[in-house]
Amino acid sequence: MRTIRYILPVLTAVLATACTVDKQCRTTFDVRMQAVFRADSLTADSTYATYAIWDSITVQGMGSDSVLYDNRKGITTLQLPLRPDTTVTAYRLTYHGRTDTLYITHNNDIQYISLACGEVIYHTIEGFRARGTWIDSIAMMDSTVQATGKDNIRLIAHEP
Amino acid sequence: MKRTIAILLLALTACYAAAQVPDTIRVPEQSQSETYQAEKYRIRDTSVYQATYLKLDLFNTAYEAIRSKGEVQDYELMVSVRLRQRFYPTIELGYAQARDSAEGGHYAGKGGFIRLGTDINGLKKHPESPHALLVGVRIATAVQGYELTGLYRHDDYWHTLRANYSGLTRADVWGEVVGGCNVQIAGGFHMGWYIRLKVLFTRTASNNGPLPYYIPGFGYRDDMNWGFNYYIGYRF
Repeated sequence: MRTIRYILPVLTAVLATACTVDKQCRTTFDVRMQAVFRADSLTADSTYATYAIWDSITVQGMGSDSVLYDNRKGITTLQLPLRPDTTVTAYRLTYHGRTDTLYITHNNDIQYISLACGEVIYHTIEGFRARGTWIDSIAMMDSTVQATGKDNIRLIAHEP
Repeated sequence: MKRTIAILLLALTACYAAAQVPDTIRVPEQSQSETYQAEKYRIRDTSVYQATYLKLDLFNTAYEAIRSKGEVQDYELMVSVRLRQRFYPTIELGYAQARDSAEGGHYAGKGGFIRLGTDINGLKKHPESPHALLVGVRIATAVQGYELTGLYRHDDYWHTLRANYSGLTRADVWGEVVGGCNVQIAGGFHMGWYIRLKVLFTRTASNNGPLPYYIPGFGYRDDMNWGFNYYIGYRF
């Protein structure tokens, strides 16, 4: 019992200091749809060359005042955030002076992280379409949109 | 709280109803043999039931009130019976409420919990002693209502509104390994403490919804938790 009398205050101090809760979020959650690019361009000798780099692209989400990419050059992947409050997200993509509208249909899966980090929304792409002149077709690569860095869609342009 | 008190009184009544007049073998004071030590308070009790203990936790109530500046309130009560001088079946009842804020939102919740288990007295050489060194296990559950408001969404581009969840309820289950001691102070008054290792079994939400930040009887949500109790009680 004497030993217990000495142990008790030490134990109390240890437990009291051990009961701390981290209120800061120490993880970043950047969930974005990744779109890669492919353009088949007719060369001088009447063959097609394939390019995978945007040499000039401007992207803005419809319903937002912010521009995601402003005449950016030399990029291969677009990181596009999907709307968490609706199931259709639209973007205006301007390439070589031509503007197309890209519509993505998706669902929203809300994941609660913690009181410090709040919640993050993951998506599954259910469909897509484009309206305009330079996007020829769209190919699905991975329908799951999470913070994994995987490519989700490929925009195929057919350049005259 | 009223239901908790009613359950407690019923449990106490059951213990008294089952109480037997102990068959005691009183050791003669003049006995000098090594087997029997002639101390007046030592009675070798061969009955099954020896006593009922009612204990009130002081540590968690005071600690949480001071640490959280009143945002967390925790009240715990323990009822145990002593059987065969060695086993202590135990029921613990409690109530807790918590409010907290962090970078990602605000939390408020309250509910009750119950723990069931048994302890074993480690004092093998002197089982008749009123003191006890205890090791035991518990299975526990808590039921609470809670709400999360102003929950931050990782959406830096579209700037959607923060989310609010209210009217949520949840039941959590966990297991505990406990160790502690119980010491007689004077007459029927006892004091004691427990250290608890708690392991949470219910770790995910069925619909991936927000989980409660604080679990009554368990503490802040995590896979594993430590706990400490300091009791004052009375032996009937």
